[in-house]
Amino acid sequence: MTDHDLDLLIRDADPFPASHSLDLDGADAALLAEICARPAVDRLSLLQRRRRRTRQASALRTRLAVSVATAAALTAAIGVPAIIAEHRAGSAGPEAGGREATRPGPGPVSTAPVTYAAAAVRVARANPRVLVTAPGWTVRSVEGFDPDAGETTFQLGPDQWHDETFPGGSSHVNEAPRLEVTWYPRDQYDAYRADRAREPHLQHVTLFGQRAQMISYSATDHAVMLPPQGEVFLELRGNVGDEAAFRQFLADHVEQVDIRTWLAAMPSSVVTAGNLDAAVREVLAGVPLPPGFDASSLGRGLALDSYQFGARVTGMVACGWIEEWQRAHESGDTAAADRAAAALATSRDWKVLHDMDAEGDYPEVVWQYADAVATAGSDGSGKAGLDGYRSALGCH
Amino acid sequence: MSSPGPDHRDRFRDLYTGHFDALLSYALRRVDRPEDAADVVADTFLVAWRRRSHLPAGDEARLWLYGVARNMLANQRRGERRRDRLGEALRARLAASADLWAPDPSSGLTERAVVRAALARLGDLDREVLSLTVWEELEPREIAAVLGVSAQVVRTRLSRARGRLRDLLGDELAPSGHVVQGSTPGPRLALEEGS
Repeated sequence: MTDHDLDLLIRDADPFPASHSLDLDGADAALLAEICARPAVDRLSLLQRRRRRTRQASALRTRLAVSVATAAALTAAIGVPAIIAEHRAGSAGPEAGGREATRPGPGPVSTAPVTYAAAAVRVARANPRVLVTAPGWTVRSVEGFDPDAGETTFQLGPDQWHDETFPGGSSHVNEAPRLEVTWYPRDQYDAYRADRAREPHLQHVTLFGQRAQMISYSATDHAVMLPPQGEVFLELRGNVGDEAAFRQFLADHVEQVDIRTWLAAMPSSVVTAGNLDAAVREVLAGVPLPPGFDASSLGRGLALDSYQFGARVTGMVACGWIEEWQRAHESGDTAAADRAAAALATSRDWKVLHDMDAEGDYPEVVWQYADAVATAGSDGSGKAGLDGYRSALGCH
Repeated sequence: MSSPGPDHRDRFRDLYTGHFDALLSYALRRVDRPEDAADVVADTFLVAWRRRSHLPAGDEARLWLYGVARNMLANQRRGERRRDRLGEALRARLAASADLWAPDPSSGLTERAVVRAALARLGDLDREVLSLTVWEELEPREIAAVLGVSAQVVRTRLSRARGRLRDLLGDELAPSGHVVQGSTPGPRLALEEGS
């Protein structure tokens, strides 16, 4: 059966062929009207944020898969800084390369020596750096971590998941008290402000000495948008109670802090030298390591989101096992080759890859090469399946 | 500076009217219930509306929409909560029109059903590369943009996916493409000609 024949079969199996025509009775136009009647951009929705993460992941995947992805190119592509920004509490400056001094903020000051990634410091430097200082509140997640766009979600205590049923389905909803702090590029501020001006429940508050727009999306869902500071502006949106409670929460428990304090509050998904070891341990849980694996060669000072970081670490492991398989195969060490193949086969069970799978296709690439090794055969007849693995996986 | 002004609204309307049918077809081909396609299309265009001042230019926008729709499908399969109840009319209309493409009760034994079953057994990425190639008629470079991989990866995947599908169908379909009489033991599908 030729490719053409096969494609004809697939075309014939199209569940909704082009020949179908639907009488939508104006439902398409109704949807367009519904969408256009929506308040203009009110916030980065969950879907948008996921898309953004996926786009970041896609960019990484593309780069990983590009055949010219040399080690140096890969390093640059995924934003691993070559410079490590080191600073100590109380010293003059935590900036990358020590070129700039820190302007300590009014918040608490950390005392532990910490080394931060230069890329992370760049983000922090460009950011108004808001933290929730109320007891029990921590950074639950970080969505994007770029100088001009990103979001940190603060939460009180653990997740509080509830099943919620609605027409057409049900879902699992985290109802823990949260405050989402989103930063946007400065050049979008006027557009956002104009959009907010059309909201029916627009008020103004003073926060950090600035007059800010406040919107109540519901009785317990409120947001404040601050004027730009530097190259970004902030939006804070939370579900901490009614409007009065939200105002009080902002006044009492939200502070602007200095760079090191802000970075110190970031979770492992924003990987700095201070939490790199813990992040590596988390990613490698249940992952068999190839001979000679050295996590320290990941470099110090990574500022990657969890997908990128997972790709970096699991790629190193997969590369190591494939190289071990090749070595063992070429030297006739059948037992070692089998061990390597078996280790790669466990990649189907690596939690980190399953976590990443929802966001992008890097896990598929790992599994593709694990399958290729498994089917290569003891005589190496199937080695062609490994072609291009170094560039595809980003092996150094 | 960007702003969601009239130009961007017009651009969005053009995008919507220009690609609605393609997006709806894309979604209908990949959902279990036709009405679920309404959610995918509505959520996809809602994202586009919210990003209307930053939409990709030219044909890239269509590919971007496919990429967003793909994510929406993934969200839907994970059972994630929809935050916006849009497109109820479209949902109702699709539900009411379901018989247009509902499988014929006898079609479980047809060649078409065999191919669909084989496609369902492929990995997600293999199936998507094949589907985008044949059903959406995208080129590898376009599929690469949708999936966020390189065109070379798409070409490799496409070749492999065809090979796997061919293997899955190999014992079921005669060289002419007609359904083979009889059945094969085990997980293979039982087939009858002309069903």
